[in-house]
This record gives sequence, C-alpha cells and structure tokens, in this order.
Amino acid sequence: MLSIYYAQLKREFWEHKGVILWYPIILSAIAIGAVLIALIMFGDVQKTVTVAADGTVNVQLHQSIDNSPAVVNNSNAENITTKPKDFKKVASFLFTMMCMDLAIFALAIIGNGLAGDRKDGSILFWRSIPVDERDNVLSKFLTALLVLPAFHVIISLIALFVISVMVAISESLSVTSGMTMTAFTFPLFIDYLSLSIYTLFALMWLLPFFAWVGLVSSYANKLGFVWIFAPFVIIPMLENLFLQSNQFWPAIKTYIDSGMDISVAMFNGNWQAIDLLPGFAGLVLSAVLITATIYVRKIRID
Amino acid sequence: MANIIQARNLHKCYGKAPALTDVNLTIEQGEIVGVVGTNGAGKSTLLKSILGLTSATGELTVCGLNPRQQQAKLMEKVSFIADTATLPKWISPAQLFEYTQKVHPNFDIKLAEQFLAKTNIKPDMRVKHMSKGMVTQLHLAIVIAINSELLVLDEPTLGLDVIRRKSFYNSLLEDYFDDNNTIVITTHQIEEVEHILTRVVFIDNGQVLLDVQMQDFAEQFVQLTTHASNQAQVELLSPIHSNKVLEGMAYIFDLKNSDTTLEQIQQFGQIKTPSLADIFVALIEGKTQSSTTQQEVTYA
Repeated sequence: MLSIYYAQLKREFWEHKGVILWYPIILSAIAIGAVLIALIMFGDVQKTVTVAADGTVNVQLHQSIDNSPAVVNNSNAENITTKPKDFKKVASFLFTMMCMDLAIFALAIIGNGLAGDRKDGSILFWRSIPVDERDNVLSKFLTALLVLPAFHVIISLIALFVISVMVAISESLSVTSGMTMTAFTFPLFIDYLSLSIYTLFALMWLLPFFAWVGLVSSYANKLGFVWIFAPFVIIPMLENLFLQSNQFWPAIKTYIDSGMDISVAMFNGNWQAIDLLPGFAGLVLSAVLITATIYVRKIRID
Repeated sequence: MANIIQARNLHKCYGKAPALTDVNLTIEQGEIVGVVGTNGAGKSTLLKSILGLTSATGELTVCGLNPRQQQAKLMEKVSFIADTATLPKWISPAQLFEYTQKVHPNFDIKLAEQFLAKTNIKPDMRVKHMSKGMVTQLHLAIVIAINSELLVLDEPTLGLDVIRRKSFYNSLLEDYFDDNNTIVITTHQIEEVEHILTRVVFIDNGQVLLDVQMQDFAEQFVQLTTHASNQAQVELLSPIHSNKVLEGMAYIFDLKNSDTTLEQIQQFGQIKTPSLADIFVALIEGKTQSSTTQQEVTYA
C-alpha cells in the first residue's frame, strides 16, 4: 500500500512539477537576486551607531545615491527594541501570502487532477492500471496539502536563510558593525520557520473547500467554476428568502478567520485561545465530500 | 478452456435509449474475438461493461471477477487500449514504465524497454510531442509487458496509417499473443483483423446479430455471382442480401438458417466465401429492409 502511494505521489509530482518545484525556485531566485542587486547597489549605505551611557542605541543612516541630496534617517532606541516584533509582523505577512499562494495551487492540483483526465480521455488509461480510485483521489489531496506545501516551505526557508546570510555578510564587510543587522534578520528567519510549521494546519483547516472543489471537478463536465461557487450564492439567497436570516456567509468568514487566528495563537504560544471544535466539524464535512468524490470518480469516466 | 468472459442477459440504457439489449456472450481462453458494429451499435458500451467502467444489469463475470465491484483487481488481469489516444500528455515513457512497474504486479519493465528500443521513441520524450502512431506503440509496449489474461482493444488503430495498423497487429500476434491470452477487438476496419480472428460477433442496436467461429464461417455463408437473367430463380432460394455487380448480380446465402443447399446455388454461377464486411452489410441492410417492410404493412 505504501509503495502504491509513493508511486502515486511521484506521479502527481511529475504532473505538477511546475507549481510544486519550479515556481518556488524561480520566486526564491528572484527574491535572492533582488536582494543581491540591492546590496550591491546600495550596500555602501553608511550608518553611525552610537550607544549612550544609559544603554540606549542610536542608529543614523546616511543615504546618498549618485548626486541626490543626502537624507538622514534616525532610528531611536525605542524603534530598535520594537524591531523584533515588527519582524514578527513581517513573518506573519509572508506566512499569510504563502498560504494564499498554496491555497490557489492546491485548488488547481485538485481541480485539474480530477477533471483534466476526464477531459483529455487519459482517465481511460489510468483506469486500466490496477489502482483503486480511492487511492487516486487521496493521493491528489495528499499532493495538494502535503507535498506542495512541503516543497514551498523548504525552498522558501532556504531562500530566506540565504538572504539572511547575504545581508549579514554585506553588513560585516561595511565599516560599521554588521552585527546590528544580523540580529534583526535572523529572528525574521526563525519567526518564518516557526510559522511555516502551521502551514499544514492552515491548509487542513481549509480542507472542506478543497474537498468541495474535488467533488465538483469529479462530476461537472461544463461550467465547473459555476458549480464551485453556486452554493455560496444560492444558499445565502435561499436563506434570506425562506428564513429571513443571513448566517451563511458570516459563518464561512468566521470559520476561515478562526483558522488563521488559531495559527497565530499557536505561534505566540497562546494555547488558551485555541478552539478546535469548528476544525473537527470541517474534518467530518471533508470526509463526507471526499468519500462522495471517490464514488463519483468510480462511476464517471466521461 | 476456461471461460474468460461470461455475460448473461446484459442490459444497459442511457436514459431511455437502449445501448445493450439482452446480450449473451461467452468467450473462452485463447480466443481472438472481433466485435463488429456500426456507430452507436453498442460495441464500446459492451466493452466498458466488461471492463467495469460502466454498469449494466444482468450477470457478468470477467476472469472470475465482478468487473464493476472489483475493477481495480480486474485490471491486474486485463489490459485495454481505448479508441482515442488516452495516454497523459505530460508523461514520458521512462516515467510511465517506472510508475507501472511500481503499481502493476505483472508488469515486466525489461520487456517494455525492449519493445520501445525497436521504435523511434526516446525514453524522455513526452507524449504530447509524439505522433498518434508513436503513442499507440508506447501503449502497446505497456500492454505487451503486462502479459495479461485478457486484452481488450476498442478501435486501437483509429487514425493510424495502413503501415502502422499492420505493424500494430503484427506486434500483437508476435510479441503478445500465445494460446493462453484472449483478445477482444472492436473495429470498423473488419478487413484488417479478419485474418487474425478466431470468432466474430456482429452487434447492432445493442443486440447480437451474429456470433460465429471463423472456422464455421465458410460453411455457413456463401456468395453467388450470377447473370441478371437468373434473378427470379435465385431469389426463390431466399438469399439474405443482393446487390448489382459488373458481372450481373451478387447474392449472399445463409446456409445454416435456410433450407437452401450449396448444390442448388452452385448451378447459377460462381460461388465463394464472402468477406466479413459483406456479411455485416448483408445482415444490417437485411434487417433494415425487414423493418421497413413491417412498417409498410403496418401503415398499409
């Protein structure tokens, strides 16, 4: 069974190599390249760091580009001590952006994987191989929610580490001490690493949506996009019409927000604020939808 | 010989349109069966029922398994090539062989690579860059390397040129078939497979029109070519089909299902064994004329 799943995941990796491997590599290469260019072009920015007798740190940045007038920026000690918290915000922002990225690609892998082979007829070939549709469907979800994020997280962590080292080296080569910047950039890396652990949690929290997309992709021949979004339009309309209430959309939003809040709460170690009950409900709904997807895949080949 | 396929009272409808009507079919190990029919006759539906890809009512056993409920298990014993080029466009032969080796217990990767080495296909060449003939060769490499009990071919040479079609069937016989394998082929190009079939099944409107062993075919059907002046006398012998030819008229007789003897036919001209295509046309057109006559009677 494990060897079948390994073969299935490898097959999915080959099929979606572009978004799983090449996209994060290219994005990371662009980020590293951009930082490298910035360090080369603006690496000679001079700083004056003074430490007063009471321990307060003052950093004066002198920026002078070509013949532009010099601009002096001052950072007082208070701003410097808040820098680690600012970088937590930066790390959270990068984490949120990565989750959005991953959600879009996961939807593409699941949607295309379960509809594309019916459209081009290759489902007839896959059904000639002795692999149960249950294993086919589950391997697509595992690829979207495990393999894809693993590659993205690892590659982005490597890129962020390389950037941190580049900045540290650049700063250490300048006249003033590079340790100031190093102390600021490595916490960013550590914060991002910590948040990345919760990527899987965030994607699993969104599993009901992925499972719904999987079911629609397995069934609909036309207007798949319409089918995917139809419940989110029709249910609120019916609710408003027959129940004179408006609970559906707020409930969806609350579910999504609670997932992200739980991620951040776990990141900050605030365990009392965590309520996993909506997540369990989401898992049950996901199981029902995925089971329906497997059934539909078995009966539909066109 | 063991029964590879046993079908009893198979029925299948798409909405209100019947696709299979009371189909009974038993195929033994070692047979090469051609399933011939017009477009929409029910050939593909019959094959998909056999492969468990569509449901049908009635009794159906393939290689001792229920194809619908044990479809994945059945695919360990059955291979099939569908009518369209169904290999995924993004995959390469190397990836395909590696994947099949890991998931198929009966796949011999060395056999597949040996077969591929005889073609122009490179192991890292993606399917989307291959011609239709190359795709068929690649699919055949997989089938040959699996060496399944039953091979189902649904219009496998559609769109191929005549050289590729002949090469396909030659490879099938030389590299795949032995007396333990069973092959079921559906095709429009009856004349190409006629020489390799051991049995032929004609299907029309979801019903089996004819099911005959090729060795009995020559004894059952006779084609008479005669002068037009003999038309009245010959038609008294109840031919199943007639058409004009350069020499006069050609008639086809079913000796098994009529009282006409070979001696009665021989006196009117030259006789020979008709081709499968001739018999198929004769049965279909004969059926059409029969239903038209019934309609005329009804509305008269």
